[in-house]
Amino acid sequence: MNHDLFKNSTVNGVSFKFNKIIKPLKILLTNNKAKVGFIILAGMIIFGVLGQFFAPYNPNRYEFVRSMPPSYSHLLGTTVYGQDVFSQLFYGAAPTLLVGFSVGIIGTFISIFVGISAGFASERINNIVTGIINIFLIIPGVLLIMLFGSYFLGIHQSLGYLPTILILVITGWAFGARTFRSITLSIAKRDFILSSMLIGESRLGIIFRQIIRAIFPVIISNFFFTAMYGTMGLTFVEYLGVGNLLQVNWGTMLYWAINNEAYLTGLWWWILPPSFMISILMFSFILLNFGMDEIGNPSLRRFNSKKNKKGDLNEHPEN
Amino acid sequence: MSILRTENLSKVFISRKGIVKSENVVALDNVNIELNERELIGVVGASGSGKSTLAKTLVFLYKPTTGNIYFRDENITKYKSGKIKKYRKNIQMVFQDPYASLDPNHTVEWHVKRPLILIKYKGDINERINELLNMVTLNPPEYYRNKFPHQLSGGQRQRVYLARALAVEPSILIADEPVSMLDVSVRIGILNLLKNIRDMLDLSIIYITHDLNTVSMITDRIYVMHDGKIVEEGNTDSIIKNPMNSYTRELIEAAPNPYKRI
Repeated sequence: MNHDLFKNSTVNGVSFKFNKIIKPLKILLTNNKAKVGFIILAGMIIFGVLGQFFAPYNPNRYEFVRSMPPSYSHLLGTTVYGQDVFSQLFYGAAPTLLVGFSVGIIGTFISIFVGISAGFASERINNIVTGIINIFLIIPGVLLIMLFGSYFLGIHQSLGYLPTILILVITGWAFGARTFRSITLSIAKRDFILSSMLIGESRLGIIFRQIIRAIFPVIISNFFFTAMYGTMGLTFVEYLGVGNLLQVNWGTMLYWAINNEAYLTGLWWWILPPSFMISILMFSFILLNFGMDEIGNPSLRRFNSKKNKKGDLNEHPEN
Repeated sequence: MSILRTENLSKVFISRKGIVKSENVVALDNVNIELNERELIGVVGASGSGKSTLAKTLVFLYKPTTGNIYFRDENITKYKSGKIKKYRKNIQMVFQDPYASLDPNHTVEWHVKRPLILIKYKGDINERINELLNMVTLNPPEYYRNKFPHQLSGGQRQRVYLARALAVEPSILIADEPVSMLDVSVRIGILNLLKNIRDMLDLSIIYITHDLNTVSMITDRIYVMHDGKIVEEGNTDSIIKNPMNSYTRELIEAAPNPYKRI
């Protein structure tokens, strides 16, 4: 059946592209951990998108009775300033996800670029780039966040979330770069890469045609890891007070809740929901990460004999 | 006329032991070999004798420490990247492990197509892929084209790799233990293929192995290597029948013989 599938693909280029996207997703969803993580993440994204349009109240309005416990009209009560907590949670989901994903995507791109060029370049470049990566790994992230954060605080308003994303990318790319470097170093010595060098493939050709393909599971896993760092980092940046505190996201919610000692005054409906949502989001990232690990590393993969018996023989786990 | 010749070729690996201390590992020690046009020569030796280093040095995956390599009487030792690329169009290598030399993420078709695109093959690439797969006796080609390496057996993989190497249209093929990872029953097929290809395409082949049985089947001349040195060279039959060097004698003694019991 697999054979037929590919036969069609050479005739019909469009369906081939489609298969290329659908197939990894299918494999991802055969793994239970990844499946749960994917469902939670999809739910979060839907929650975030809906929140932009259907928040019951304006999240920034200070007009309700202060410190109201949850009720039917205010699902999660109000803050000490008289804001509706549910509206803030609903509206603040999208920016939180946005920062997380942007940091994940940009950070992963930088680490792929730096890591692969370090792993596949000449020895001298490798040494220099490895040095730079190590310096970024050693510098404490908190220090950089404080430094850049307070620098950008003055021009924050007009730039929105850009400075926060920038800070988090700067502090978050190095770990992935190091991973990519070591993987690339090991792959570059394999026979199938040497063989491509022998037939005259250029270095760039080898990187794009073979190395990226070979390390793809690691790229995905690194993306989730960096996105997790981004989401946590947003909370952290806002908590330190170096972000723009007028923006509504789960980080600023926590900042204000903690600043007003919500945990001491018993306003649990203010502090628990954002914490809970962030934990759930992290949880989904971690589950997806574990799932990807099992997909990328065949030795972690358990062969599902039940599924194969059902005649699902076209699913080659190695693909 | 010699197509490839080495002159006192040496390769020394430096293995560091601590900051100051380092140890030199001599992998090739003044190796002189000569490959003539349309010749099939064998390089025999135990593991660690420098056979694979020799192969990799000849295709410039390693840089020689001292000595010279001549290709069609032109000294190519000092070639830089651009010229090395051009030189590699004339020389290809088949790796020992067919399970590692094919990219697991790509199909058979891709493996044969890439070299054709890179040498800017003029004719119909599609036709040529079929032709090459036929040449290495993967019949019918349509059946194999869209297979991934993990769907093939070791012998089939080695054939696919051979097709990939031949797509470059080299004049020299270095086969670095091409059958040592394969089933005994498959070996003969691959060796016959090598020989047929030599006759068909006028290739010169260096066949590297530790296995004296297979070397005597197909090669014209052999070099016996021991500890990075060539200890004996000459006509295959005369060396097998009448070995001069004690090491060669040992090798011949050690070769498995179905009629011999320990």
